[in-house]
Amino acid sequence: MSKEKEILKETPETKEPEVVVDVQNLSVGFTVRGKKINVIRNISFKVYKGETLAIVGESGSGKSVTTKTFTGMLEKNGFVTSGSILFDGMNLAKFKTDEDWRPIRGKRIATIFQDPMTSLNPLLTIGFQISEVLRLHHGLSKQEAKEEAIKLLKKVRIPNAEARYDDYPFQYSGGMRQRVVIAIALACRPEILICDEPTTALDVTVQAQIIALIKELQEEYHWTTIFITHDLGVVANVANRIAVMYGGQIVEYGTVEDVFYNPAHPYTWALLASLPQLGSKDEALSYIKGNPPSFSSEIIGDAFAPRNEYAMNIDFVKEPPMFQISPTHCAKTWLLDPRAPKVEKPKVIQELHARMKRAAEELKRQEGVEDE
Amino acid sequence: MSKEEKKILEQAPVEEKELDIFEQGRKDHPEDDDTIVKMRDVRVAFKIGSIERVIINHLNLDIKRGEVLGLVGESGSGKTTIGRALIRINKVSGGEVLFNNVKISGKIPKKTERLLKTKMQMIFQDPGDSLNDRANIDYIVSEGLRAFKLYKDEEDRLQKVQQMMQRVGLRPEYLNRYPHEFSGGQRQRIGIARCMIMNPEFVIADEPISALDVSIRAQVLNLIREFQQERKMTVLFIAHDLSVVRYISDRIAVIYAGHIVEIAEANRLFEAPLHPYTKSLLSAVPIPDPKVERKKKIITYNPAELHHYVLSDAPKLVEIEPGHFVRCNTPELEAYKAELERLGGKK
Amino acid sequence: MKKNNKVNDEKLFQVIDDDPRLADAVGVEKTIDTDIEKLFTVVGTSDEKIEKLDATPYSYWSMTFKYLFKNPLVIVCLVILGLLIFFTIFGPLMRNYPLLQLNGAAYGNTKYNWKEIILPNWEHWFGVFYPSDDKYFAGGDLWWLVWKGSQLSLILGVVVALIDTILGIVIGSLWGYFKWLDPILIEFRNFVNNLPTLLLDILLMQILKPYMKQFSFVIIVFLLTALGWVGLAGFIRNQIIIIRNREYNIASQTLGSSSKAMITHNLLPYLVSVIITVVSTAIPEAISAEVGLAYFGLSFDVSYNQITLGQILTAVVKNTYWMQYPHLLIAPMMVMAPLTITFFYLGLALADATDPKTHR
Repeated sequence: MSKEKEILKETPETKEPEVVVDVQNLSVGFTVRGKKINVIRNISFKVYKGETLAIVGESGSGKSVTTKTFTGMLEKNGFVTSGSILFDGMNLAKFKTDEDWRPIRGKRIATIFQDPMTSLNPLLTIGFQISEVLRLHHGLSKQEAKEEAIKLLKKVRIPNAEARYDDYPFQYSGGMRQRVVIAIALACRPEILICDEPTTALDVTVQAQIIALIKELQEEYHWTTIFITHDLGVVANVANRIAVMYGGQIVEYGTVEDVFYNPAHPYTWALLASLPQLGSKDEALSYIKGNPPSFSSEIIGDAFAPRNEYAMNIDFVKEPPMFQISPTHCAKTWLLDPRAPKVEKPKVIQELHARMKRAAEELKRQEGVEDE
Repeated sequence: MSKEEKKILEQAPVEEKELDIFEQGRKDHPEDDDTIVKMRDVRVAFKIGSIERVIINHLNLDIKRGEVLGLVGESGSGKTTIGRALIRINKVSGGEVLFNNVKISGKIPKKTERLLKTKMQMIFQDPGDSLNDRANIDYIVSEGLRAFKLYKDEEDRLQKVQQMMQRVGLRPEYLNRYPHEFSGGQRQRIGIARCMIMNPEFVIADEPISALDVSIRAQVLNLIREFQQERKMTVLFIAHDLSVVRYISDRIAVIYAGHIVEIAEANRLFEAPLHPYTKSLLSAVPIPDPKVERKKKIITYNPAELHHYVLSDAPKLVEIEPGHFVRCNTPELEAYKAELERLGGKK
Repeated sequence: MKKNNKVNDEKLFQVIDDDPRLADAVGVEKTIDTDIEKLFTVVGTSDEKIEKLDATPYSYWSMTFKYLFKNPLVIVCLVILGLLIFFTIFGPLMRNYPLLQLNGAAYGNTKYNWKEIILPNWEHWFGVFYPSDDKYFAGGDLWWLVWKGSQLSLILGVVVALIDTILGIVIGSLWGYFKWLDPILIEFRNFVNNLPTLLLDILLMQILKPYMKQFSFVIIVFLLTALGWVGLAGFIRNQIIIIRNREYNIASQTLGSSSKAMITHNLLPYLVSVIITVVSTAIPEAISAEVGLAYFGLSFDVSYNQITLGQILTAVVKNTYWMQYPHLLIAPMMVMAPLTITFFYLGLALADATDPKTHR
């Protein structure tokens, strides 16, 4: 690990944008049936101000757990075992009580979950839930809060906001509820907005709208977004940087261009290659064989090795270090070692841009003359 | 593996000479034999208290024997309701559903209903909730076999289950494990195994992959496709995402608010989508390429603005080119025809 | 592009040295440096590696017991319960003063003055019951009485709880599963809930009185279970309705599973936790219910030498001697209270331990 830090230090820091959250050597453990397991294994990364960081990985990769440590919302049996999370001069990893978290959680770091009902009370009206936040956080009067709440509802494109102010959550559709949750998050004016698979349960059309909304609002409010998803496909538009997680570690980290056009980790290759948008009808769609590691036994070597078509013997023995590819891009795979044989990336990934350009042109053609 | 399945086929109907009602139905209507399921004017409504919510009304849909029909629409469009109405989970309150030219909707004899279960099966959406958590995999996979006694003895049953486990890529030695020990993808394969072991003629796959990680979806998709091709099954594949159904479907039907708005061969639908809702679905699929995706425009579908339907010229599903249907009224039909011309004819 | 990535080879082989398993796994001999090439050979995946599950399968019952015995309260309750059962069996033998034996008048016992209450002493560990005004218990050794009473109460409690539970589960699961049964049984439950139970018991007792000599146990069990199962059945019905429409049950229906298979494999296994809880609370409930019956004289007949805790308590509170001599009340309560409380807490602990959600 010390090696890793050295490498990171060498990168020129002059151009680097301001860091909001600096995660250093973070490890998180859980006690499961009396056994301690390590779910986050020594990860370090930075979140830059005003940017969107996408954390991508399969279920069980630790992507949600990582961000839950930012707001102290780990499950009861989970705990930070080592490392630090620096945010505005504070080390969030040291926070214990609700008292500690109160000024951070929801106020400075807000979260939107996959299921909007985790954040909404089914028994209270939408209007009440938003205006209550406004009154608590900004000390507005009832009337002011209502006006502000309606403004927020309009901002998240709830049609007919005044009329729907007094509706209950069940009267809203899934997409609309997620908009309400975003409005509530907006009410707190957070510095960081964590979106934990906010669109996974939604239809594609609604997903596209919600992502566009989050992006738009970010431009207006200048917050920092951490976007968690299992679908690399959805982050191309929203993310500035991408952290690919596997087995409780970040296996590749880079700008969105780095990851899409020059992915270095075989796991990232496999994730990209499994996207249905990338395939064509005549080829069988590829997928990642096997299952994510269960953590119940100690992980030896590279966690991805058993599922990796490019796995080398060393992957089963020793954990690879983080190799720096460019100042913004690094990956944790032995394939980057000079002694490793040269392997060809899957064809789909080499052709990614060409294929997608073609797809976009096809779409335009179908839409007709409108935008030509 | 397929040998084994053939064996099941041979063994199952011991009273082979005597055709069951569905086989008889096929025999009686040779002219209709290429259609396995017909939905005629189907209406499905749910009653909540005294309020009746009509989900589907006047729905007509034919499913051809041996095809994979993709049924795509958003939540609330009625796509799941259609699947569940076919397999009699939801009640059909109007019209009729024919399976092998035998009516299977509404009140039907108990014997027919039971027989239907051996011919029509379902793969469920959520592998977390659709497996009995308190039963081991052996029980779950052989549940259908047990219900219809489709095995000779205990040994035969076990062998069938083990072979099916292997077929879906699971280790037979895990037969005594419980569902929650498996990952989402594995669980969904267990769900497929218990469905396929029945050797059904027709399978309804109700969003079988939408609860899974993108990275393992293709495995489940390929598996369903393999079974379908091996056994010449018919599959109704329900999904909310067009990018996925493309791989598995021969034809795709797009449904919006309980109406089928467009139906065509899979490739044709992607080449020449006509209905604005189909277009909006296509444009909503995110493109995994930052440069391209940033420039992409999303089309939103707003039926109130787009369509001006009047009673005298109500929209109908019209065959605009062979095998390509679109829901429209007369002026729309003209516009779509013009558009089709621009997009180029069918290859 | 790849510059800062020198790896300490020695360190790498040190790792292999430390763990011979690894050397075996890769087939690397630890001393040979040229194996670097072997280490960096692409081997890809194999089916062997990827569909593996955890080595130790999770077992529901072993987890349940593990959780149960981790709870100190459970240990305490089990110890207390064990002691109670031990004394229930052997207590009467330790101080064997069968009823009426000490009754001076009848047996010519002159050791005690029957006008006084006898405090606990070396001979009579819990003291001796009242003087003469109680028809049956006068002069009874309280130690003997209390454990004798505990015997019958405990047996009664277990039998009644078992019958209630079996009836409740069978009827309740049918009630919850078959929709057509629901309106009928709901009406029945409403009817039962509005019955004056005590009046019914009195009536039944009057009718059955002549048979009390031979069939007293059956009759009392009947009185206690006649309607006792209704509550439990309703409870099971509610639980089943909650899970009846879950997806896995719909799946079983489309697979053609019979109602019997549905109830035994799909529904009841999910209710194990609640059923065990209900059973363990049903025992103390039945014991208490008998106390109630005894108070109204609807329980066993002491003259037939059938003693329950209920009768003893009833006899104690019939007059106010116990205010002066609290041991009269304390002695039976020392058995009664721990009996009901330990069962209650064990029920709670069982509910927790049998709930798979706690098995994390």
